[in-house]
Amino acid sequence: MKRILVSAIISIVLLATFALPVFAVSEETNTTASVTVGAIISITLQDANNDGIQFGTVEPSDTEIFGDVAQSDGTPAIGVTVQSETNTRVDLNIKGEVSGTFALSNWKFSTNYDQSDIRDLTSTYPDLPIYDEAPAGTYAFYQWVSVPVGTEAGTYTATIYFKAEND
Amino acid sequence: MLRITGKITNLVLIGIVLSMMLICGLPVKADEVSTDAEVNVVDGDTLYGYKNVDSEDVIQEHHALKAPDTHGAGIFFHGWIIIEFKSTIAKSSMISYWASNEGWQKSNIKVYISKDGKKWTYIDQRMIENHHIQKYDIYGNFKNVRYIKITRNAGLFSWLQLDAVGAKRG
Repeated sequence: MKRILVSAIISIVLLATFALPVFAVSEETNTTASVTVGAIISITLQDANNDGIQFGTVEPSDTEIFGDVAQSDGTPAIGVTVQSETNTRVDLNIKGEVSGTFALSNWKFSTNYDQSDIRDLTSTYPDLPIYDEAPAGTYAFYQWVSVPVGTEAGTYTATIYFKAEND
Repeated sequence: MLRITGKITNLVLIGIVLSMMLICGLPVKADEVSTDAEVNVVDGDTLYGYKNVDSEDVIQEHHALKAPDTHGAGIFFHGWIIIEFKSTIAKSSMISYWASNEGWQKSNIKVYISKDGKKWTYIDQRMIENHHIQKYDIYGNFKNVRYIKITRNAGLFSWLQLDAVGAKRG
């Protein structure tokens, strides 16, 4: 009888021990959290004279290329600033738009004051960006115009567009 | 039925969130800005003022030289200015000047030309009241033009802004 009693007690203790996890007071599990941060791109223009791109008054010439009257070496007519809130590197590009007889190819730009990379403006953005994967900062766009001999006297205008994008 | 209603509610909520993101401008994958460019082309046959020879009651004389650029010399009271061209224009069919009147009184302007800066030929007189710089042309058969003199006659409460002078060759 005593042995039976001891066996019963041991059995109860073992049962209680194995049954404890069933009555646990805490439990742990997990899941996945994710957040998608979108690209933010913001650019502004720094105008050398705050009056747009002004070439002043010029006489037609087949040899001379005229620059914005306010620009000088180190001070481009237009600086495109990629703002600090831009959270991705961007490709900077330029294009132009004209109306009338004065051809768009007369309007030019360069990134160097010495005109070593001078190019005609085009009506669409070039396939290769002017500045590739540019971080926040200010980027120079020197502005030039050629006025071939034979150009009729008058005032000619163009609209210059600057675009920053993340391709 | 309840599950379908729940899905529709979720889609509506997602739509609202996306709309809010678009309204708030996020995310932005490109930005574009523009500015205007302008060039003023003048006749290559026109010679502009090269040197300020003498003046009275005039400030910023140098602004009357070269081609027009919307910046002018200020001629006050009964002031005058003499400007020399870089070379003598043997024959000119048109003398021009670019000027505006600033202030409350009109400016009475007289224009003279000379080949030596001593003996002057009167060629024009007019009253200027336009507050924006305007081109004034004087047509004729002018010979041996080397100097141009512009005089002003008006009161204290206005002045003439002279942007440029020019003589067309031929």
